[in-house]
Amino acid sequence: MKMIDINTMLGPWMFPVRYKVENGLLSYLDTYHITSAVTYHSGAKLDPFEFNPLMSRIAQDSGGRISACHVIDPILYTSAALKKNIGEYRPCAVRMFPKTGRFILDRFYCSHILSVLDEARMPLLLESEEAPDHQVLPVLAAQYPDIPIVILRPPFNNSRFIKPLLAKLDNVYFDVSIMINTGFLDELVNEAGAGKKLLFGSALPHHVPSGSLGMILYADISDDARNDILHSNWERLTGGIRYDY
Amino acid sequence: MIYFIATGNVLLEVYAMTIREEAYMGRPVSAFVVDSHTHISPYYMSGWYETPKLTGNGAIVSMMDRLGIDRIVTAPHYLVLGMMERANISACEAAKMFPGRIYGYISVCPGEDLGIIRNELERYKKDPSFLGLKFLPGYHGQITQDGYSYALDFADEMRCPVLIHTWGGSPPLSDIGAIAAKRHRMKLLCAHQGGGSAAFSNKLAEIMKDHPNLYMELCGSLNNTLSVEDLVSLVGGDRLIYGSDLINLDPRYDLGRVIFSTLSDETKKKVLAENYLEILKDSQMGKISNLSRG
Repeated sequence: MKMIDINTMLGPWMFPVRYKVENGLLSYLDTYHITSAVTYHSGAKLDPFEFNPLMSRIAQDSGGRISACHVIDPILYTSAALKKNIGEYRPCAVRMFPKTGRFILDRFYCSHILSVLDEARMPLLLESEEAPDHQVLPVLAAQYPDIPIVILRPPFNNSRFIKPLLAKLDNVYFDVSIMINTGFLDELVNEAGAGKKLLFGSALPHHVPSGSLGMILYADISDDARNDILHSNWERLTGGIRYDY
Repeated sequence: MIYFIATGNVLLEVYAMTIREEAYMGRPVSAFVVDSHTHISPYYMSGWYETPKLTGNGAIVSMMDRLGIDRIVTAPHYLVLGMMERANISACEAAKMFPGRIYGYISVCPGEDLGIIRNELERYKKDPSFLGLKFLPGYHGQITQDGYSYALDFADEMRCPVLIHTWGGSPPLSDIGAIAAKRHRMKLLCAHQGGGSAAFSNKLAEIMKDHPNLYMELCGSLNNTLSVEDLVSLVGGDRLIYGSDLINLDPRYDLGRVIFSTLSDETKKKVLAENYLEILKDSQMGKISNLSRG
């Protein structure tokens, strides 16, 4: 069974974590039978110019087990610099941390970044606590319709936001790892037609994948829908990236 | 593990799957599973949501069948709003509707008159489908309220389990420890791994060292960075008890935390059922006696 984990991290952390280097990540992927991971380097929050290229080198040397996700801070990149970075290092996604990075992710403050991501059709991963609030997100998604915006680990009690966002915005996606309102995952797939917009992420090394695997492998959905969540949806998104636009 | 069975002249190789191997195939768990922390009936307050067609008892039992959950012990969601009598009637009816699959906790709401609490305890204490008590402090105020103290004395006399909600330090774990210290005969299940985070689980584990009648219940662990393996290391394989918060939470998450873990099948079986069955042994309330599948 092919599984792509879109939410993993390498590198140092303020508190003890399960691993810091790639061999640790690979060991966890093996333990949980996960085919490959999309990974950012925590050091890139400190200095993206050093650690984003390092992440790409690690990915390149991983034999396809790890794909690089770059961390982008809007004050550190011009449009040209970001475009060059994407072309040179070929990340499969970017992450932004607006809340902890003290910026607002909207067109006014971040158009120079968002326009490049839109042209490149580059997936943008946002942890739920970092994502724009539920009033701003629809505006952002509509202004940049070619950025696949992926919200990671939406907390429980967000079903009344998640369902309309998935239904009305073509480019908003959700990681299902802790989507644990009873039956909601199955409902999104079987009744709301949102199965093409759901993805699997573990949050390694902070969390282990076991609970998320329970949600997906025991979901009352078709095998095709399960494979979509586990890998096909992500492959479709990354297949659309334009590195040389 | 591979078994060989003699069938005439042929040795038939039978491959017995581990719980983890079954899980990767999405098969119902073959080990006996008791879900010690559940809430039947719909609950749409405060942003909570369950797919409406899954809120009926028949749908819940179907879900149990698909996952391999043999028994649930429940305090219906009416408890949350302080509807103690309605919650207990609902649990009683569900147990009658699905005998041997659904068991009840006597819900205790401290906002009710002490006489009403006493009546509820007396009404259900001899009903074999009720296994213990369920408290929801935090939602219902301090654990030190008179209604709770009365019910705790009752539980101690009955030597039954009491499942106590804890989340984010409410009620304080020191209060939980004090209850366990004062009443040695009851079995206290501290819900949500002590409060939903690694810090609270670590603190509960420390308190549990002094109180052998105090247990850690698993559910709602989505934000706890400790794995089930970590929790077993903290409190021991005999003191961790599986619960899911079904249908408040989807049971697949915390079930997955156990069955996809790297724990041995022996330990998984303890967590999934054996530890809970053990605490019922000397209880004067109901018991789960039929351990056959389904």
